[in-house]
Amino acid sequence: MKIGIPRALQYFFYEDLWLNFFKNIGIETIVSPTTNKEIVKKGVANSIDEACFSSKIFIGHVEYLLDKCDMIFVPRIENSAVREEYCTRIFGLYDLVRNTFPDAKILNAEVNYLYRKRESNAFVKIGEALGKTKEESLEAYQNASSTAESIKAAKILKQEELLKGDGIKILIFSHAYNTYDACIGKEITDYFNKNDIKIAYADLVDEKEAQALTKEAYGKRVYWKVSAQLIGGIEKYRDSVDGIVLISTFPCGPDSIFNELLIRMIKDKPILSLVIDELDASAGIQTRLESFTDIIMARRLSQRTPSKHVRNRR
Amino acid sequence: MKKAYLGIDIGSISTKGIVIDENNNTLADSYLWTLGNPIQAVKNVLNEIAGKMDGSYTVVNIGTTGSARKLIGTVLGAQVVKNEITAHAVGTLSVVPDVKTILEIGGQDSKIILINQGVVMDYAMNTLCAAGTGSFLTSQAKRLDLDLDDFASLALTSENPAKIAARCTVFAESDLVHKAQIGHSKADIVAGLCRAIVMNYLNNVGKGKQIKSPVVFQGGVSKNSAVVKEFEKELQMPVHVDPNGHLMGALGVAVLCKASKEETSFDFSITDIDFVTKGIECTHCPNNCEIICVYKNGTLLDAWGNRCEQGAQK
Amino acid sequence: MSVTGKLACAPQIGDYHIIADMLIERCLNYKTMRCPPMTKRTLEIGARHSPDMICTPFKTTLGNFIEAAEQGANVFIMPGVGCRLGFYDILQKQILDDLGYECEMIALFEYIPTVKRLYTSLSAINPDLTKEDFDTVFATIARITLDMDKLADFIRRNRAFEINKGEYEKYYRAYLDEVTSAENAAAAESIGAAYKEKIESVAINKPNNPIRIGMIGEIAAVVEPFMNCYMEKWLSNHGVEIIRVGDLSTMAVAIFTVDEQVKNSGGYVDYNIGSTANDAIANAYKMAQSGIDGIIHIKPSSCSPEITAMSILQNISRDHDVPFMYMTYDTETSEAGVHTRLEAFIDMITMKRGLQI
Repeated sequence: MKIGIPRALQYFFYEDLWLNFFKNIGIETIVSPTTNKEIVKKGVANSIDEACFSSKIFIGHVEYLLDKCDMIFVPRIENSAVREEYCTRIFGLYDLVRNTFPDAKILNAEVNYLYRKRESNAFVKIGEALGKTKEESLEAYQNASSTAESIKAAKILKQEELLKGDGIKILIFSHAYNTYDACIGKEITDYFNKNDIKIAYADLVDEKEAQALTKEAYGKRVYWKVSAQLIGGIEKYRDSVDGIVLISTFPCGPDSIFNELLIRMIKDKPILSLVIDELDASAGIQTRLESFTDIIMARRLSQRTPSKHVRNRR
Repeated sequence: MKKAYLGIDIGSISTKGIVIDENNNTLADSYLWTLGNPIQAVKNVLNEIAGKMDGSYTVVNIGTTGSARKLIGTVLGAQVVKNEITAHAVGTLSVVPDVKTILEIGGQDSKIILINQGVVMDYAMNTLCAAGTGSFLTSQAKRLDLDLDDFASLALTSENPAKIAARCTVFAESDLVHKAQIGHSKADIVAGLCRAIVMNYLNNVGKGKQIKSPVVFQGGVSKNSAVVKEFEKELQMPVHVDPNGHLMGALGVAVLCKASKEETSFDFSITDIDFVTKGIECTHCPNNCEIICVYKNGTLLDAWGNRCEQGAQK
Repeated sequence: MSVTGKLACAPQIGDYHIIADMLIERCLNYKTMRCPPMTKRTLEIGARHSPDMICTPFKTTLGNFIEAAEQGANVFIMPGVGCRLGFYDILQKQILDDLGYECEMIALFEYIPTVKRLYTSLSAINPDLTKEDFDTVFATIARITLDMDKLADFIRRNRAFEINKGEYEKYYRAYLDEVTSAENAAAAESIGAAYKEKIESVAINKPNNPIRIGMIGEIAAVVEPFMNCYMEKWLSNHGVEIIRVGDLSTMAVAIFTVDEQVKNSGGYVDYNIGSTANDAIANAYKMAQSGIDGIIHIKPSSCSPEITAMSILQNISRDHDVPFMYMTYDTETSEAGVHTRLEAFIDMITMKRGLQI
């Protein structure tokens, strides 16, 4: 028995939890490779043209896995708590995959806190489908869950250290499945790394803290989990960075609202907004990254040697 | 006197006319540029057809199709005014009775028509902008200083087509410039454009459609042999291009004319009559509907274009 | 007694602004105004100040608000719930602020649209609003919503065949004018009943088996004629019986009955796929089985749940051999283009029936 896991969308939220769970119950997994042109092409060919690029990539990964495993893991996750929903593209994934590849064998379990279908129950169900007892699955889940949490906590700590240090720093506001995808965010993070610009990620933030910060900023709770977390990250880290980079895929529902709000609300930091789709227009991205870097460098210089004019105004 | 039927297809770029007999045999045809003046173009087409007609036939019924179908239908007093999707299907069926799929890429639009046992079962048109249609190809050829024939033959020499993003005209143009700047050969760029048009068509218009053989390809772009070759490669089936493919819309309405029992007597001397159209902007509400008025020798023949009831009719 | 200086405006989504106006006038004592009827300018203004990637109703309703603000409106109404719609209020408020309009944005709900939550929201603004008064107002507008949707549904199925053109429309408009003065649900109900009788007795000449077309999709695009390029009117003028799903009363129920819709989807979906897309699927499946001639799926540009639905509708179309027409509306949609496609769709269906076009 080999379980295929598409390296796209939800995977980037749950990588450590999922991989450790399957390892703990002793089930072999195959994760599709980092996104490449072939996967993009397959995804685009099998998706509705108007669908978001990230979900097209997901479909491409599923197709890649079709003949390489016994079952493909596409859990149907609506939320991670009441009022912490994923976007509709994500919670519609299971039905989307089923209708796109009617013959695919899907390993599924539902997580929906509105119906008291908890994450732990879902993993018990998954374990059941793979011939594991409730106890085995629960233990595997709990261990995987705490491993995932400590990995994330360590990442947050490391990021906070980095932000205390010197150097030019930027903050990336982007869904994890875009930031860390080889065909979406990688070109952008590579550029900053090459130019010695330190990168912080808005999603590396404690979830509860992020929720509270977001509610404070917008006067109401944001029921889209990922957006709420990212906005909290912006609120928490924005004062420690030189600029903010927004990365979206076309067309993204949540980002269409919140990117615009951020651009309108944050006036004291340069913001670069990049929208990526299957058009592969990397020339435009390079140009924008270069000019954005010029702007944050210039601001740094002007802050270090404040002009006379500014001093007088004080 | 033997009966004949006249069909006219007035598109944004070209105007086509055809006269057929009771058995769908072509008696005369004409194909001229519209040049932004549909009425004059139709007059020219009619003059050319009149010169080619055998005196033993008389036109008893007229049909119009294409984007100026309503205007020209009014001017000529046509019995049949049909949209170009239906007209193309009917015309093609009269020539290739077993056709299953019609691909069409015209000046502004592209469409796909699926046919089963002589009946249109499904169709779709482009939902995105004009990228990937004929006018786009023409403008890019001009930019590269090529005429359309050289364009196709140059494209056929390429072994390594450049990847070009052709979903949106603006993107495609900037991408094209970029590819040229970084040193791709002209042949590879041109081949890349032909390929992009095919991929764009299949991913947008052709998405989710089962393309079955026999496939007929029509519209201005079908004259480009490199695009035809790309279609065959991608679909892995032969793609037929009828040398008279451009006449299918006109032929379709002519066939429909024959079926409509209404008869009239048509006189080619209509080309001597003075027709004037006037666009008036209705000022009754901010819709500013453009109302089109058609005058025949100075008297109003018809007017249309109102969105609402309270608007000025004339 | 109206609160001085407050002039409230609900966006144009079909005729439903009358419901919102009654709610605001009676529960908050604000004056209301109807936003200037949607025109090309509304779309242009809305699109100019909106983010590109956003779904079309954001642009049209923002256009409504800006045009209303130009005429003095200073309170705007949004549901504050459901998919991206739930965040329209925050972003539109920010945009209106940036444009320099001093205004208040009322979000009627938060997260789940319950009647209780509606009372909480309104009584937070008007502490004098008693539960009893609210209940009376709510019962009235609920009655009106149900009645107007029922009347409109009947008309839609028969308008193509009325003998004296325009009679249905005349009665329906008269009903809307009259019912807004109803003091309570009982009064609204008797007005509704009177018009039902008038509307049902309009003379029609309906053939035995007219072409029947289903309309499904996202509510704003389905309900607002300006957004769908007066599609219903066009279809009626071409002799088509229209069966439309997606009015406010069915949608209000649909939100709470997703499980039901999943069950009635013929196995095509197992779960909620977002917003009211499940209702579209369940109804498409039902229509497909009823032997409908064709189905038109309508959505605004970039509507994610309906984009998911399309992948499923394509399978229903293929399995049940029902032609579908997919229409995406944006502020750039050309009416002539839409009508050409509709014409071809009806031709196709006519030919399929073996009839002369």
